[in-house]
Amino acid sequence: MSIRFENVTKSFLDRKVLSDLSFSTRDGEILYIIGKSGVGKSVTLKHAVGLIKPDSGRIFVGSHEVTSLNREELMPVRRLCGMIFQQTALFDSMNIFDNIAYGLRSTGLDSDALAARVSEVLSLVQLDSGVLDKLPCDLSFGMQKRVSLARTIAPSPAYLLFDEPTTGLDPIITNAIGSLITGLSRQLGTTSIVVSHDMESALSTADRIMLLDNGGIAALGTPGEIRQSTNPLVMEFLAEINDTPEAGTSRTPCIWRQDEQSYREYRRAIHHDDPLDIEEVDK
Amino acid sequence: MKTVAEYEKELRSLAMPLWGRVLHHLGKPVAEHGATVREFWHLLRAVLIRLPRRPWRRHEIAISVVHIGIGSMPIITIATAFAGLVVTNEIAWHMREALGTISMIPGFTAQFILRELGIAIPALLLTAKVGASITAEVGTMKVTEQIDALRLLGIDPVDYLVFPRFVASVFATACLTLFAVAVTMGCAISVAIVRYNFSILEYLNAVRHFIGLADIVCALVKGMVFGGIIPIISCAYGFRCKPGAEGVGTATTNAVVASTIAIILLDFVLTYLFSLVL
Ligand SMILES: Nc1ncnc2c1ncn2[C@@H]1O[C@H](COP(=O)(O)OP(=O)(O)OP(=O)(O)O)[C@@H](O)[C@H]1O
Ligand SMILES: [Mg+2]
Repeated sequence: MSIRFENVTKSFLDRKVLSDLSFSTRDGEILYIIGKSGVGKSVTLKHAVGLIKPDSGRIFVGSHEVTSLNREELMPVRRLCGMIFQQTALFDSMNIFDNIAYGLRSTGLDSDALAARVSEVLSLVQLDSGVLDKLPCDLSFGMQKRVSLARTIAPSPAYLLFDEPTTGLDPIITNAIGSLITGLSRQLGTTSIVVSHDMESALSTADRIMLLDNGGIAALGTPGEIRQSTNPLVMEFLAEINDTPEAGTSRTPCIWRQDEQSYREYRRAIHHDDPLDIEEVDK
Repeated sequence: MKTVAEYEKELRSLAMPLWGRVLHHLGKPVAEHGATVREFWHLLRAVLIRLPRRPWRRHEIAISVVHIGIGSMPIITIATAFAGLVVTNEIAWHMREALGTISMIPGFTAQFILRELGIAIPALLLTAKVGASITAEVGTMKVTEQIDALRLLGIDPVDYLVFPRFVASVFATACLTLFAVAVTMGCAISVAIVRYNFSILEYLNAVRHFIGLADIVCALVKGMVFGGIIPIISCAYGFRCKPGAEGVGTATTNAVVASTIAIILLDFVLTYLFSLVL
């Protein structure tokens, strides 16, 4: 149940974007990929689901070797994966209901179960059912991001890939979406890769953080290790957030709070630790 | 700020001989158009293979038929009506000059309309109206990652986007061709009656000797071929669209230009082939 890159290399025309990239996620973990704009974060995510083929190297999703599969064989693997695209990628000719339900139709749910599931995921992303018959262009960008989150989690994928789920949003929605991602990952036990610029939320929610630079890994470690790192790029990213004022402000996501008990149990079962302890270690 | 390497590269390219620079600048667009041509063949093959398989996506096809067919009727009516008004006058003038008689107007007009005018005009109008909108739509979907999102939901974009438009366009263009021929003929006949004193029975009787079922079948085949290549070319350009509003704009322009040229070339080829067979 992990995503594994082995010596992946990719160039576009004469520009080498990924060079010999190797990493793998652990079961049920949240891996943040951080890096400067244009470093190849989105390209890395798209490789994982076979939307881009590497020039060389191999990529595994669970036991499937994505790089050796053809278009038809990729379909079942892609159904295991949910991906939030950087630009929301909602189907703009369909209303919100159809957008969310589209991926569910192939699962053979009857129409009642379908509608129930749609309103369930909609409430998870804190939108009310009034938006269901609207078109994506009638919603604000933050609402579109949340709809795309709902669309992605609706079929309960085993792997979640987020491409900058919070970039360009106000801090309140950023927090809400950040907490949603973590809460969902914790509750459903999915393996998540989150691409982001935002070191602060990475430090507070990631299990491990990976810094990309020049097509390779500049640093990889737990938030604690990243904080101690002497890598110049890491320190550059850390410097950005070190002067944030209220260091004591808890970024504990609201979903965790709602369901703290089950989250703690989940953490104990999977990671043999307690979330609140971790937060103290991190601070 | 340019890096040293970029400056060096620029210097090297300036040091290239003139023909080298010309080739360098030509090479990229040629390579890009080559890639689009490959995309075109790939889509055409995929759609033709898909054709005998079920389900047929009736809902999407119906929507496209309404959009392409009904939506294009006003512009096609106006354009072909005026073409019909002009064509009788033109042919009458030439006949008077060359033959000294206008008795052959019905036969010549009918053949000209059924072979070229009533088919090429709607096809070229559809290129501009339908082709452009398909490229813009598919291109925007590509740029906003909607096509990637489709793939990720396990939906084949060819199946979802290209196939319904292809079927709808073939069907709608065949119907529109017949419609356009009828409108053009109607207008041509009314000019002949009003201005050149033909009676309607006399006119239709003369037409009957010049036009057979084969002509109508040829017109339909041409219409269907044109109707088939417009969405495929448009989708090919849409799928290869570059990011940004400019990318969508360029792709749309290129698609309309390419479809227009393709229709004119195919018209020539098909007319030649039919002349061999008939
Ligand atoms: N389809 C493509 N064709 C050509 N070049 C591409 C393509 N996709 C990405 N690139 C190039 O690869 C590089 C990495 O792009 P990518 O989208 O992964 O950046 P990113 O790290 O996600 O940046 P951002 O944070 O701005 O989203 C960029 O230089 C981009 O121009
Ligand atoms: Mg990106």
